[in-house]
Amino acid sequence: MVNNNNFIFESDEEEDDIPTLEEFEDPVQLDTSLDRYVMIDNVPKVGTDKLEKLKTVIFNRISVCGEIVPNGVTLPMNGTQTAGVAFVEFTKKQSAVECKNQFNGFKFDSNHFFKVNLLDDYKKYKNFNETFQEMTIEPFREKISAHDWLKDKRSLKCYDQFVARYGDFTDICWNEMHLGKPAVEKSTTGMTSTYVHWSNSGNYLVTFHLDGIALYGGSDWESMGLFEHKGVQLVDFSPDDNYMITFAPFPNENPKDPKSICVWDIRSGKKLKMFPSPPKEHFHWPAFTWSAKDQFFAKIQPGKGISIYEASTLALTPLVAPEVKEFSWSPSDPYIVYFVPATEKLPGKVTIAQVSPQGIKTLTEKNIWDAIDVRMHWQNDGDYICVKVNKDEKKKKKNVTPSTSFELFRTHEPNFPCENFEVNFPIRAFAWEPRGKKFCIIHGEHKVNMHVSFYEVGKNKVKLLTRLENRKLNAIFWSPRGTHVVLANLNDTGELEFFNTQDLETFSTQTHLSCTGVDWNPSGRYVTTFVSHWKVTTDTGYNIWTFNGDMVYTLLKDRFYQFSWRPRPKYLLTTKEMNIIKSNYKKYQEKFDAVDLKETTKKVEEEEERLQALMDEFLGYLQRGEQEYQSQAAKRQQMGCFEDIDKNDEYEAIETVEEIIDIQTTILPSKK
Amino acid sequence: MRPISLRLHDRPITQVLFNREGDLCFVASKDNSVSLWYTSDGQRIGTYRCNGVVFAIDVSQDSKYLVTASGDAHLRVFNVKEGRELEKVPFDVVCRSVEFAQGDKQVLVVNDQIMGVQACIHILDFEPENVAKKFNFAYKLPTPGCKILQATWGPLNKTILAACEDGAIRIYDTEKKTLINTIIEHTKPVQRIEWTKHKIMFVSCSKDGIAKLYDSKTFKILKTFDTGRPINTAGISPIKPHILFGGGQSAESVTTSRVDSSQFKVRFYHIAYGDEIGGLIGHIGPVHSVTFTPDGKTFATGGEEGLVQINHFDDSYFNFDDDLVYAPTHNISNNNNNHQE
Repeated sequence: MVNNNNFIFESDEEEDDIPTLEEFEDPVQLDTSLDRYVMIDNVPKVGTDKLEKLKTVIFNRISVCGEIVPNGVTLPMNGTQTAGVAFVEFTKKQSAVECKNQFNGFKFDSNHFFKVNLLDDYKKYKNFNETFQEMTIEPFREKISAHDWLKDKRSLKCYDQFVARYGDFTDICWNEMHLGKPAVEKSTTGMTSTYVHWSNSGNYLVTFHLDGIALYGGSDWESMGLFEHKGVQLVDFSPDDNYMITFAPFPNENPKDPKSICVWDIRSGKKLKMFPSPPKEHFHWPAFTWSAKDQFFAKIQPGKGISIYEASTLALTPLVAPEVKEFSWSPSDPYIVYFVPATEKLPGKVTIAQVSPQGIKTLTEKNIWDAIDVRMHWQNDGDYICVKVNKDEKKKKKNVTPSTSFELFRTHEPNFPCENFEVNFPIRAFAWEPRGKKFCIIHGEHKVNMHVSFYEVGKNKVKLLTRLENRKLNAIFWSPRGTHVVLANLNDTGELEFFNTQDLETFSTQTHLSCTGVDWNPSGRYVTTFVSHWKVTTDTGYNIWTFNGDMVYTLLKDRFYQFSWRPRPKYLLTTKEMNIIKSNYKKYQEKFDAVDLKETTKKVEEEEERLQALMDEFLGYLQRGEQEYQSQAAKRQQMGCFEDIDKNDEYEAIETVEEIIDIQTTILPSKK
Repeated sequence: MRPISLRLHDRPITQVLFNREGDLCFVASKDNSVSLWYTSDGQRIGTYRCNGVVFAIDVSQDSKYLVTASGDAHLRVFNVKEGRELEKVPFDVVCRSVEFAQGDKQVLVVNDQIMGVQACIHILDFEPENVAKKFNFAYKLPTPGCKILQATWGPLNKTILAACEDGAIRIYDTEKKTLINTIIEHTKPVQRIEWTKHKIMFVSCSKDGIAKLYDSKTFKILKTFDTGRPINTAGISPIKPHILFGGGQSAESVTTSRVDSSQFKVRFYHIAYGDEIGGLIGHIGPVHSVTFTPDGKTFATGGEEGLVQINHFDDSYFNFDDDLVYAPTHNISNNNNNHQE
């Protein structure tokens, strides 16, 4: 700023041409800004005897954020005791901001939660308006129940909904396949600017707009909430749909006032916390992963460990593991699994730990030599986790068939038993059977020659069920009900294989050329394959198949973008209860069949009536036109037109027909 | 149903056409020729030579004269029976479309919008008996400012409909010789306009994958057919409530994306319900022309790969749906075989 003033001052006296001292040398400036300082409240109050000790502890804790100036921690005294406040001076502004972000709400001990503020912000808080302003209370409005859609007659009968987007249209349809085609419930244009997204339980449909996102739901597709986040691009819901995280790219973000990633409470519509966007090379979505029951959300802080936030209080529990590369949450328990890669001397390590607001407790650890990267795959009930291990390529023995090793932990058995098994060739895809014991792996070296292996977790050991060889497949889609699986060759020639893992047989093989995605109906009865205009421009549209590979419906649409089944909330019944229902199926069947038949007959009649009406309408137009056409016969004759049956066409065909009418034999009298 | 494949042309087929009786089939191709075949057995009768790519043909109602519009910027007229070129009329640029007016007293010719020449519909008087000069320029219609892919005479020659590249159908009055209506319903070029029997309705086929059926008097949209694939051409059955679409990804985009032969399926739709009812695989390139015989018992298709197929319907087809009832009876249920042929 001072420099600028100098420049202006000089330009005023330009004519003098006398160089002033300021021109040669910048004036010495005192750094009066306080942006490298933070102020910490809620520091324990101690006497002078413990002062140095406390200083060291704070110094050590805080120094993870960046270098602190020597003697940079100041604890002002208030009489004989410290005032409960600490000032910390960092060498860099960035570290101070980092400190605020990381340690605000930090639990120092059981009674002291740090409150960290930048000293620069002091002015801001000083000018805070202290006079109380009366709040205007808005009249209470009853919220629409998010579960209303489940009470719809069709929903109760287990027909599912889906959303399909093409051109400018967004269609929400009912899957009434027994009638041969889906019934459109709502068709709108310009509902969203980019795409639509279902929440995990299917309660909300997210639409994207320039200024933020909107949630739709309820029984009549009312707006359930507007969340303002300029330029929003991505959204991620917590497993139970209580929270939501949105992302909008925000260039030149101020780390003090992050705007990129935002955590929302859906029901209150409140913005809970904002986070800065990680640099591009570290960016991945979802930025945070959620633990079961929406309890915690966490992300990796590169070089530090994992930041775990409790969703209800937003309290931070850091998990210190500077080298951590990968982590995941159990879908059923508050377990976190994380992986630290191998170094020159140390093996890689997979740790399972239990997270609670009180702290983190390590449950089990497993060392894996040479492991440089892993992929974690949870079975969706949280019974098992299968960890695919990538080993250091350089250390692999040569002239041996390349193989990939897996570690399987049984997380619902005492002591977390772990076993190791190996699969040949690089792995292309891995997927667990939902709520099951089976998993499927596609592996192989060439994309036209892949193997598909099905494994089952046995009592003591993982066993291979079957292996399909020489397949041209690259993706696995399990039915949400298990047992059935669709194997696909996505983004390529679109081979599909419908496989039954109970009898280990292929139902059928089909193709959907250049298929870009597969989506199972939540009931597991139908599966959709689609070609999206985002990836392929010819023949975009979708096919609906039964679980065993019979095509029931096909639709081609120009500029077809997106197909997505509406998810259903998690099952309330346990597997056991469901099995009881399954075994008593016969009892319900008759009743349901009768209802179905009645309704189908009604629907079929309605459909017939509709078609008849269409035909009548069409014939009406046709006959009116024909009547007019007939009335113009004179004009046509004048123009020289030929009629359908024209007099010019008539001709007389003369054909000579000889017919033998009678043959008489007359015997002439002989001349005698 | 066993198709008769006519393999003669080695370049794309631009139009297949039946004469009024449906016993002769004309095939126009980009290989500079028009061939003539017997519909019943696919036997070739002869070939008419042009000097350029043949874009469009039409035959007079007495099957005596054949007119062609070709890439060498000429309108030609042939004697059908003798295969002799009778006369040719030069134009500035490529001729895209040609059609006899009802009564065969006039011919319309469309020239392309290239080399600084505006696309335009020319109307010529046709006097077949005049030995010296059969064609005389009568008038031309105002240019739409974009390429016209096809132009066709409306009912009683009162109007001319032009299928334009900007997705519009432009309707010209032939008396006032002005543009009277513009129907903009498509986002991509309108490839072809096809009439129902007696020109009661017409259908517009567009590259955007949508075909629309209009009332030819009020221009009201009666039906929309969304096929999801580019449509080049349509054929409307004169006896059944069926409409036939041909098309597929154009040749230049096929090389850059993955397609299979089902892409070039000829597809049957129900004209009143708007639902797809069937299809026919056979072509390995985009289908450029489909047409029914006037008796509705046969249809022919011509594709990019130069193949023409003539399909005679099996008997089962005629029992499949109710026949169309043209006579305004109000008794719908009793509608078997009482249409007029």
